[in-house]
Amino acid sequence: MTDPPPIPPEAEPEAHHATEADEDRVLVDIYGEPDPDGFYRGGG
Amino acid sequence: MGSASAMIAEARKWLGTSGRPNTLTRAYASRHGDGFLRAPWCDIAVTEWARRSGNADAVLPAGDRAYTVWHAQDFQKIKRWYTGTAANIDKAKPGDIVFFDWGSSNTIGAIDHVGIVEKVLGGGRVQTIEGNTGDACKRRVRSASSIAGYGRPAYTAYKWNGKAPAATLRRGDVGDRVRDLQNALMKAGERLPEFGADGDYGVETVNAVTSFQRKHDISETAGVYGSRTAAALQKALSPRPPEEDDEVRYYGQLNNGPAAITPISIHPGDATAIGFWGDNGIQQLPPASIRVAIHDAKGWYSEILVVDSAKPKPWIRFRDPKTTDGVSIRREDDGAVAVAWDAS
Repeated sequence: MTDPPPIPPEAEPEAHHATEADEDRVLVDIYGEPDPDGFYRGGG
Repeated sequence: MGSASAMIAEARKWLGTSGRPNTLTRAYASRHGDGFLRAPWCDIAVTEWARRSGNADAVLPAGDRAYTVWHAQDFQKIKRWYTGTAANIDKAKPGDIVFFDWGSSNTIGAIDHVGIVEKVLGGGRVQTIEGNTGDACKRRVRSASSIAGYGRPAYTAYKWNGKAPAATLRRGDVGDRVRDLQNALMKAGERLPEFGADGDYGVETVNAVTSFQRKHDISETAGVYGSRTAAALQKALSPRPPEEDDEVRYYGQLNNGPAAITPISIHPGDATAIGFWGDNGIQQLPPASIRVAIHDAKGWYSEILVVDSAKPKPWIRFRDPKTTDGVSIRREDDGAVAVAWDAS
């Protein structure tokens, strides 16, 4: 085990958003519709 | 023992986790200090998933990580790092740890986010599970343009044991038992054309289970792998007993008595399986127990069988019929039940 890691900086905004225009369509195709909170929880 | 599918299964459990602190950051902070309670937690999530799924050695080659740059360097140092070109992304595998930068630089120093590959989509894209994306754990679709590279953990290789798993499994389940089911379904002739044995009980697996149930006339909830489906699938995987019109080339009766041995010579290529039956039910005797040793070009292998007239006739399919030239059967019981055999 090495030294404890440093506290990381906040990620760039892109990390928090879809970066592919068709993300929702792809996820719906694989997992079905998201739950009411917008999470895709289904099995693919 | 860890595996890629166990790692993915663990990640899936956390879909929907949001906010800080959360269970993942609390666990990490308990080991590394309260400063991590509200820290950016994408790599904390990967660290916790690895620890909880038995994959710490594979996913965390230098120990716990919260800082993505160091984590990527860990993979680079052990030569398990793949730069995020479109060609490389198409070679990624479920369970790979994927690191992001947002300037298409593919430089490790620019990395500030991480996730796990759940599916490889082709066209230089993957579908991921990421912690701390919108301060939540979500599925994302990412392309080579935002991927700096990925680390390939030295997961324990999965190997199917050739059997159908025990019931019950259903849509949404993940892990090696699902992979066992998927391999068993494919062995039984069902199709999983897109995702194969990926350990994810999704629509494709539901359809394959439903198809199997329909073909075998199983009355059980469609698409759910329940006990009836499990029994039928295991039966489908068992060596196929010769049909009535198959030519029985060899047959005979075992020598009776404790430890009695019956040697059988077989001309290589003549038979593919040997089966046994006994009449213990007539005299209400216990089932017969026999050890069947089979010889082929690779040597001897053996199996113990229970021969019970109340149950289906047990068969052993030869592993290499072309070179199988002998069988030796030893009674493992008191030899009271007469047992007959045939090979075809």
